[in-house]
Parts: sequence; C-alpha cells; structure tokens
Amino acid sequence: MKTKFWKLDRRTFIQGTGVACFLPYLEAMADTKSTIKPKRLLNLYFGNGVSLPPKKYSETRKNWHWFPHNDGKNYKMTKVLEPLEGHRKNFTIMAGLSHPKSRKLVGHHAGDSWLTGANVGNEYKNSMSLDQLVAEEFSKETRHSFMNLSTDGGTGYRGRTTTLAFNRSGRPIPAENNLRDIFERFFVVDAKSAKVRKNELLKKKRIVDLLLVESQKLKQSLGKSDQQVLERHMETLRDLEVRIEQLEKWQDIPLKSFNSDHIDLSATVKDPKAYIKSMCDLMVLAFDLDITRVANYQLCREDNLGIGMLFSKTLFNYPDHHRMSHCNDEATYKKWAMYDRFLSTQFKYLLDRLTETKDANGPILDNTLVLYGSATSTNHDAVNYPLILASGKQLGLKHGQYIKFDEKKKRMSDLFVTMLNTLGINTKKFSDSHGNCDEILKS
Amino acid sequence: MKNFNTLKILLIPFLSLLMASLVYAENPTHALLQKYCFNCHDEDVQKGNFQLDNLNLDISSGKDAESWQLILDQLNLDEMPPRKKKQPSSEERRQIINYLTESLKIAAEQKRKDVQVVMRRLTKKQYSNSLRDLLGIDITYGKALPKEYLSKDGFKNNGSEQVISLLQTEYYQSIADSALEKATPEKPEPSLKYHMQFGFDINSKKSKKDKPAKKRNIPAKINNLNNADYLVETLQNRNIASKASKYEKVELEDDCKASMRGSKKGSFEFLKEGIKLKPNVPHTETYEAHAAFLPPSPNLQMHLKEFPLSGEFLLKIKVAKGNKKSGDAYVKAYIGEKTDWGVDFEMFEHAQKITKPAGKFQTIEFKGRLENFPIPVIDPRHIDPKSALVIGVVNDSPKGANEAQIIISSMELIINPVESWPPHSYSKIFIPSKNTGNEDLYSKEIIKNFMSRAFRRPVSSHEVKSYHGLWKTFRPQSRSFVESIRGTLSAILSSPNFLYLIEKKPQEGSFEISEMEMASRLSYFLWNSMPDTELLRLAFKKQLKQNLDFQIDRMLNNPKSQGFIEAFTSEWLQIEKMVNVELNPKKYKNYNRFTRKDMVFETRHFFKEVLDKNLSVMNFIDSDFTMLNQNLAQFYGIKGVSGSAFRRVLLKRNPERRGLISQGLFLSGNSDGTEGHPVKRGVWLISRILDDPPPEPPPNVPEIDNSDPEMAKLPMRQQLEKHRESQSCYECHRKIDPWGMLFDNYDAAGQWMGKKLEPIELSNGKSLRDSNELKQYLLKERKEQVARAMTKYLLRYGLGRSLSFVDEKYIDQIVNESQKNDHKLKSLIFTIVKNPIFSKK
Repeated sequence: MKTKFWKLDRRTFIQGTGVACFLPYLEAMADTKSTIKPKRLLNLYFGNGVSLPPKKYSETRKNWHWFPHNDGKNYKMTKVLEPLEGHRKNFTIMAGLSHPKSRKLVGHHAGDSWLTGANVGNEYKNSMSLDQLVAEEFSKETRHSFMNLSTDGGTGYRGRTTTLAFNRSGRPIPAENNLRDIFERFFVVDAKSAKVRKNELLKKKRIVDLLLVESQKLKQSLGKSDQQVLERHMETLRDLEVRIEQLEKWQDIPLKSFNSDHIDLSATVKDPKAYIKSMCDLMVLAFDLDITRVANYQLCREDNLGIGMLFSKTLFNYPDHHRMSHCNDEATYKKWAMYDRFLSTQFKYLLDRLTETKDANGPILDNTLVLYGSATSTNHDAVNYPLILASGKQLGLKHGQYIKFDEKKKRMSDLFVTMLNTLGINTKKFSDSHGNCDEILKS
Repeated sequence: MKNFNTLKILLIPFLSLLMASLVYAENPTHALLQKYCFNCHDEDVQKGNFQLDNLNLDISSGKDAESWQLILDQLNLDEMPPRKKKQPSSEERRQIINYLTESLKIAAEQKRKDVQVVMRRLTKKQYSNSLRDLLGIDITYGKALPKEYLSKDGFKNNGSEQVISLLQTEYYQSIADSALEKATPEKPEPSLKYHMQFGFDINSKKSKKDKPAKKRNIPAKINNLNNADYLVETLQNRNIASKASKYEKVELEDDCKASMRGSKKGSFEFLKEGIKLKPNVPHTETYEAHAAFLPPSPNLQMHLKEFPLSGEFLLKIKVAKGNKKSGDAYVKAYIGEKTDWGVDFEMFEHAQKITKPAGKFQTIEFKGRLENFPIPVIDPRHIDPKSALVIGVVNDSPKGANEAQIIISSMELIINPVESWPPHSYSKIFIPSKNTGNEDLYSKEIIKNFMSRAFRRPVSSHEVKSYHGLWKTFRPQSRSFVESIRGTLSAILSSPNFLYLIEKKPQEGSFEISEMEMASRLSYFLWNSMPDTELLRLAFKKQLKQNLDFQIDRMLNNPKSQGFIEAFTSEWLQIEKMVNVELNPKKYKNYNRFTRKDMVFETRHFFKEVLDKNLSVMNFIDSDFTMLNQNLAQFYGIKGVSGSAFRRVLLKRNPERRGLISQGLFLSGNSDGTEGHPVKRGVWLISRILDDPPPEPPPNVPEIDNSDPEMAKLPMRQQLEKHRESQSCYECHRKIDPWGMLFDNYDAAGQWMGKKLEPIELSNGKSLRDSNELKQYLLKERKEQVARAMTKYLLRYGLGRSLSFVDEKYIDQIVNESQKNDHKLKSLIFTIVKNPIFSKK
C-alpha cells in the first residue's frame, strides 16, 4: 500500500508544479526540501582479472598485489591501488566474493554473469542484470533508463560478451562504444524526433484513457471479487498514465544548459587514456544532467579478442592484457600490476569527477554507488573477484575498510542485495543470493 | 477490580475449556471426537499443527468447514487416529464420518453464495497461444513477460494468486505493437537465400593456396570446413510482391561459412557428391560443467554472420541415403548460436525420414520462425568476428548393425520465403469487404471483426464505437491506413476484455456462466488457448452446452490439445521444478544433456497416450507400457528400442519402469543431484498423486544441515532417520518419508539399482517393501483416492481456482461416474466438463 501513496503523491506533485518548473527534476525536488534524492548506479568492469603475484615472488607480491595485505580499517594499499588513497573514505575493498554458478567455469565465460549471477555454463541460461533491474525502477524519473557502454561495443558472443547488460529474458543488450554516437544519442535533443516521439506518446495516452473508461464500465457487470482484480489492473493503467505524462513532459523541456568542452569526442582507442577519460566524462555528464541514473562501462572484455585488452600494449608496449593474465614469471606479474595501477588511476579520475560535479544534494558521488572490478582473479579463475564499491557519504556505507568475505558463506549476489537496498529498492533476493552483505553498511 | 481482572484472565481459559467439554458432551459424535482426538489436538498439544477443540461445532453453519473437511478426509483415509493410539470401533468411526459428511453437505449449500471465484488473467502461455491463434503467426509472444507465481496447488492460472504490475502492463503494450507489426507488413521483407553446396574439392579453383585435391589429406578432426569443399551463394529478392520478383546475387560469401565442429573422428567422409554423415542416435554427449556444449556428433553446420533477427524461414536440405542395405534414415536440423564452447541450440522436435532409395537425392524441408530459436542478438554496427547464427543438420538414424548413412549435398536457408502476398496474417485482419475504398467504414469492420475474436464474444456497437473513435484520432497522425489500424488493434490487445477470462456476474440466484463464457472456459482448458470460430458460433447460437460431447472430442483430437497436455502436466507434476535439479556429472556419466529432455518427453507422451487411447488414470500408478526413444531406453537399460522417435514400449521385464510415478523425471527431479531424496519423493507423491499434501514445515525447522560434518558423513537415509527422531519433526515425517523410501531403489538419475529393501511401514501401519509393492497397494486400497486426486487436479486447472469443501458434492459425483468405466482419462474429462461444477461461476 505504501507504494500506492507514494505514487499518488508524485502525481499530485507533477500536476501541481506544472511544466515550467517540473525540470530539472533534481533541483526542483531539492528546493522543496524533499527527502527524495536521486540515487544512481555505475558499474565499471574490466576483464582478465588482476595481478596477484604468488608467494614465491615475495618482493613483487609485497608491492604489487592487487588486494591489500592486511584487512580491516588499517589495511595498506599496495602500489596498485595507491592512486586511490585520496578516496579511501569513499570506498570498501572486497575480497572473496564470486558467483557460485561461475566458479567452475572457464574464467572467460564468467564475464557474462558478472552482473547477473546466472548459470552461463554449458546450459547457458543468463538472466536479468543488476543494472537493468535498477534501470526499470529508476527510469520513471529520467529521459533514458540506462547508458550501456563498452570499449568493444555490441554484444560480442556467448561466453565472451562485450556488454554488461542483460534484459529480463537474459538476452544481451548491445553496448555503445562510439563517443560521438553516444553524445548525440544522449545529449542532443533534436526537434524532429522529439515530435515523432511526442506523437507516439499521445497515442499511448489515448489508449490508456480508453482502457480506463472501458474498464470502469466493465467493472459494473462483475462480481465483487472480480471487481477487485480489475481495480488492481486499472491501478497499473493509472500508473502507466502517469508514466506517459512524465515522458511527454521531457519532450518539451530542453536539456539544462551544459558545457561539454572538456569531453574529447575525437579520442579513439589508439589513445586509451583519452578514450577511457571521455567514456567516464560522458557517464558523469549524464548523471550531472540527470539524463539517466544507471550506467555501465565494460573497459575490456574477458578474453584475448577485442580492443580493450590491447590497451596495455598500446600504452606501455607490454604484452596484451589477456596474455599477461596467463603469466607465470615475476617480471610479467609486475607489468600486469603496473597496468592494474593504470586502471586504478582511471577509476580515480572517475571518482574525482563524481566528487567535483555537484547537484543540489551535493557531490554526485554522495548518492551514487560505483562498483569497480572484474569477474575473475589471477589466471581466469572465476573466484575471489577483485571488487571495490565506492559511494559518497549519503548512502550509509561504512567504507574505509578492506573486507575479506568467506567464499563458502557469501556470494556476489548477496552484495547485489545490499546494493539494491542501498539504492532504495527493497528486496531480499537477487538471482541466486541467499543473504546480503550488510556488514559493509554503517550500523 | 484489579484482582477481579486477574481472576478473569485465569478463569477464561478454564471456563472455555469447561464449556467446550460440556458442548461436546451434548452430541454423541462430538463426544467421540473428544474421546479419540483431543489427546493430540487440543489447546495444549497440536500435533501436525492442528487444533480441534476450538473449531466451531455448528458444522452446518459453514464456519471452520475447511478444517472439518480435513478431519473427515483423515478419517476416511484411515489416517487418524494414528495406529499406535486408541482406535474408535468401526461403528463409531462410521458414526463420525456420517455425521461430518451430512453436516458438511448442508454447510456447502449455505456457503455457495459466498464463494469467491476470482477472475483469471491469461497465463504467459495462454497469452502466447491466443495471439498465435488470433494473428496466425506462431511466435512465443509472452516470453518476455514477468515471471509467474504458482498457486498452492501449483497452477499459474489461479486468478487469486496472479499479480499485475506496471511493468506487465507496459510489456503487454509493447508485445502487442511488435506482434501487429509482424502480422501486417505493408511491404514484403526482402527474401534472403543462403545456399551451400558440399563436395570434396568442388571449389578448388577458388582457394589456390590449398594443395590439389589428390594430395590433400582430409583431416580426421575438423572444425571449419576447408574452403575448397563447399560453394556458397547468397541471393536476395527485394521485390517479392511484384511480378518481376527475382533473386539476385549478393556478395556475402565471407559471411557464410561451413563447419563440422564437434564431429568426432571417423564419423564423416568427404565425397564428390557431398558430405557423408554417420548416424548419432543414441546421443552420448556428456553433461560436465566445463565440457564443450556441442551438437551430437557428427553434424554439419552453416554459420551466418549477418541475418535478420526475426522472420519465417525455410531450410532445405538435399540429402540421400548413403548405403543400400541399411535401416531407415532420418534427418534432423537445429538452429542456434555459436558460443565460446560450442553451440547453444534448439533441435526441431521431429526428424524427417528419407524416402528415396540409396544414392537418390531428395529435398527435405524444415520450417519455423527465427525468433523461436536461440539465435544470437546482433548489433549490425558491431558484428563480433566470432559470433554466428548456426544452422545444423544431423543424421538422426540409430547406430548399430544396419546403420544408415546419409550424404548431404546442399543446404539452403531461405529467410522470409516468397509466398503469397499479402500474407495470411494480413488478410486475417484486413478482411475482404466491399468497403475497402471507404476508410471510415472499412476501419469499423476491421475493428469489429478483430474485437469479437480477441474478446471471444460478440461486441456491442457501443464498444466498437469507442475503439473506432480511437482510430479516428489516430488516422490523421499516422503515415498510413495500416499504421492507424495497428495502433487501434494494439489497444484491443491491451484491454482487460482480452487479457482476462471475464465471466460476468450471473443473475441473482443463478450461478450459471453464459454460453460464450463456457466456450472460453472449455477452450482454455483443453487447448490452453482461445476458442475457435466453431465454438464461438455454437455458443452464440446457445447450442454449446447441448453439444459438449462432440466438441470435447473434436477439441481433444485437435493438435492444439498439446497445449493442455504440456501446461497441465507441467504444473500438476511440477515439471519446471524437476528439470532444474542439476545432477552430479561425476557420478552419473551416462546421464547426458539429452537425457532430461527425453525424460520430459517420456512423461508428456505417456500422458498423451493415456488420453488419446482413453486408458485408465490408474496407468499413472502402474502400466504395462511406457513411451521411450532409443536414448532413454538405453539409459533405463531397456533393449530393442531404436531411433529418436518416442513410441509405446511394453514393459514385461521392467516392472520398475511402470507407471508415471517411477518415471525418470520425477525420481531425478526429486533428488539432491547425487542421491535420491526420500522426503522430496514422498512429498511429491502424496501431494501430486494422492492430493494429501503435508502441512508446510514450521518456520523454525532447519534444512538437514550438511555443513555439520557428523551429519554429512551419514548416508541420506540415516540423516533422515536422525531428523525424524526429533519429536517435532516426527509427526509430519512419519507421514512423508516412508512413501519416498519405497523408491530408495532408484538413484538420483532415476536408474533402477535393483537392491533389496527392508520393509517399511506407512503411517497407517501398512508394511511395504518397495515401489512395486506400493503400486499394487495403491491400486488395491487407494484407488478411489488416486482417482479423486486426479479429478481435483484437473478441476483446479480447468477452473483456474482452488477447490473448497463446497465443491465436494460435485467431486463425489464425478468420481462416482468415473468409477463406472474404470477412471478412463478421456471419459473423466468428459464427465468433468459436463458436470454442473464446470459451468458454475
């Protein structure tokens, strides 16, 4: 019943405020001192795991092991995560988590289930990804329900997907990789397509109106219990009406003025640093303008194909990322770790930007969950995923600590449950979860 | 005052107890209940979580009637009081039973008025089937709809358990939009033809790098075919609708490759006229988690890089039998997606037989829709170099002494094959009319026609008017007439009149549903889809209820009855749950990934056989046959079954495979993957077959804790014994576990182990040794219960609701009637539909 009241409130709110001040949603809500603050989710993924030099290479292990050596609050980052030191209070490092259904798979395949937790073994049954579930909830408030990016673009193929997003039926959702295309799709509102879209929405609205009138009439001829069923159906139609009205309003409202001079749309994968930077900038801009509240970026797919895994070669003339991930000698472990450090630096850039960019509620990071990591650890073992969960102070995460989870007791989907709840989506279950990771929350 | 209150608190329970015994003493039957039942079911002790002394004694008032019904059932079944307790004499027992039966009958009449039957929405499957019948295109439309919840009895069509959400409503609209777009194309999609000719070295000129044919060795193991051994031609026809229709060559050869990935050494041969494939039945491909997931070996595949994501297709295979003195030769095809570890694919269900003599080529065809197969999602801007749509062919003949080889000379895939224009689906909506020149009149006709089919009843002019009004607002905004119609029809498909099985409030004092409503009830029962014209026509003339015999017979003979067989067996027997149990591949090496699919087929074919031949439902307990193909027969260790088709197999020497209850699907589905699970097997049997489900386990009962090392060491049977030892578990488990333990002779894969079991006592004291004895016991002493259970499950499914004691009278009538002809399944369905319960709201 709670939801219903909330929805009624929203509706009243929308009708009351009218078009002029309806947007930007964010500021409007903040001005009225509303307690509803937009929450967001960003997933940043890289394939091929991280360098975890074995004990026999003690020196390299000491300085270049991705996971810190002590856990708890007083953990010390190695050189790999060192660039992130300045954000220490903004994130939790986690070890020991993975998806049980992927643990025995060839590591390459585990990338397909990073955000789903599904069985992607030989009987491939992928399921809805975390971002899509969140997008379904949050899309009511924004122009786009999600932004799904990857360096390779498209869907890749089974076992080697180049996207992190899977729809309700477990089908991959193609990712975008062309900076200019992304910019145009998300940030340029052209009048012509807006008109077409508006026309469509108007049609939809007429349909809903008709169905509501029809249902009201039908109701009179039904028995009591059937009337209740129909009433519930009508309730969803009314919700749909609200949704259409919201979408309609977007069409009239120009985007908040913004500056995108800092985004280099001509960057290509030949210059990985510039390219990754622009991808991050685009996600931050989308959050800044509240165009969407859900974004994914797959930096590099899990395998020896594709573009992202050549970054190490392009940048430092190291072996490619995939080759390094199969290494067995100290020198390569170190190179691999130095590439990991490069990735940490890009992640730091993203966190910096999310902190510098502010909305009415403060830094964007304050209300944003950022999941950073991979679906394998060393040598493509799909266990002990290297993971960092970042967010600002508003979301109630403890942070500043490194937690080692017990693989037998915790699953990656348990973390997803806690993330969903943190984002305000109340659930006890996601995919194969059998609990939560609430220990990362402030008590 | 304060003291008085305390006194009251103390006194009340005492007083009420006293009152209860007083009231009970007044009526001789009540006194008997008190004498034999209260020990275990009163305020202090509630075995089985059941309390008796607080039930309303005025049974015929209908209060607490459900609980009284439960008591009556327990007495009838001789389950209560338990053997070890004091027993009523048979005279006393009869007295209680008669009293309860009579009182409950009166209560049922009283209560009928208040029964709340809740309107049901089409299930995902019913939604898909209805759109299929309405539009004439067979697509699994409802696949993307949110997950469905099962009622307590396991059904998806129970109105009171269905939930609706905004998401669901949005899906209905977007599915309708895209379905209508497919059904009413304004111009034909270009037809694409991929043709591949096979033969040793037939393309040698093209690949100069390859050695001349004579020196070239054919590799024993092969993935991608050598370019020299096949020729590709891709053609496109853009003007299907016009007379100038002609295929033209397009340069897509590089996007079309041949492969034999997964074909084992020596299973194929390259000839001048094609590629020879050995047979592959039974399939032996393993199930291990890391193993490549490949089609049966050998197989021949065509890989396409670019292709439409939906559309009709026609696959033509030019093939001949390769050897003269051999058995029958069959060809089967599959469609799927290339994956990193092989192919994710779906086989066509039926193989096709080669009819011509050896060496003579013939063309075999398979038809379908791409979107019904697991094809890859491609983004044309980013085609992955390794991704591909796979079209495969296998030799589906049995291996062995007379095995047939086949030679494949060519494969041709045509997407959007040229047929008549406009397509059938278009003409079903844009019906012939003299008013085609007048958009306003014509649109009205189209809307009226479509509405009455979608709503499954005649529509009023008022209803037509409102949708026509919608069309009027759409028309000026639309590119074309067709587009404006699509928008309007999409609204019709989002209407509750389409999405729900609407049964209007009957007139005061009557509970009878209308003829039109009966047509829908019947057709969603026996077809799991909407009524056809004949049913609607009869109902319109108010002649359906008089012609039920003929109609039921016609409906069950129609292939659409497969919809009933699949949905009913799947929900009644919990098949979806069964197929999700993963078996331990290390322990069950012969259990391959085709085994479980074949087990599901066994069960469905078995049910179909019992239905089609009108056999007794007692065949579900024990039968002299089952339905097998070679794969499954070999898995069960039954000889003499060859080929992939399912057929009736007599079980003279294999009593352990008789009856539905010892079919592999339920034995393996009720296991933990490594061992059989007596509790799961027991619960399944008493719930699904005897309709006597145990109460829900109390919330604080832990699963058997396998992390406790002491416990984990013990075999399952002893773990359960330990579990039963605890008094709180004992009450329920003594009624569950023995049933399951009678199947201890079957392993987790459902294979017969043949060892001797110790006799086990059922909760009513009956001692049995194994499942074979159990079957005889059920047939001899529990026949009526089995028949009753079957009747009730069919009713729950057919009516889309759970049953209550109000329905007992009708259930009695049906079971009595059914007994007269030994509970034959088809006759039982006739009896059910013709019983008043089926046409009552």
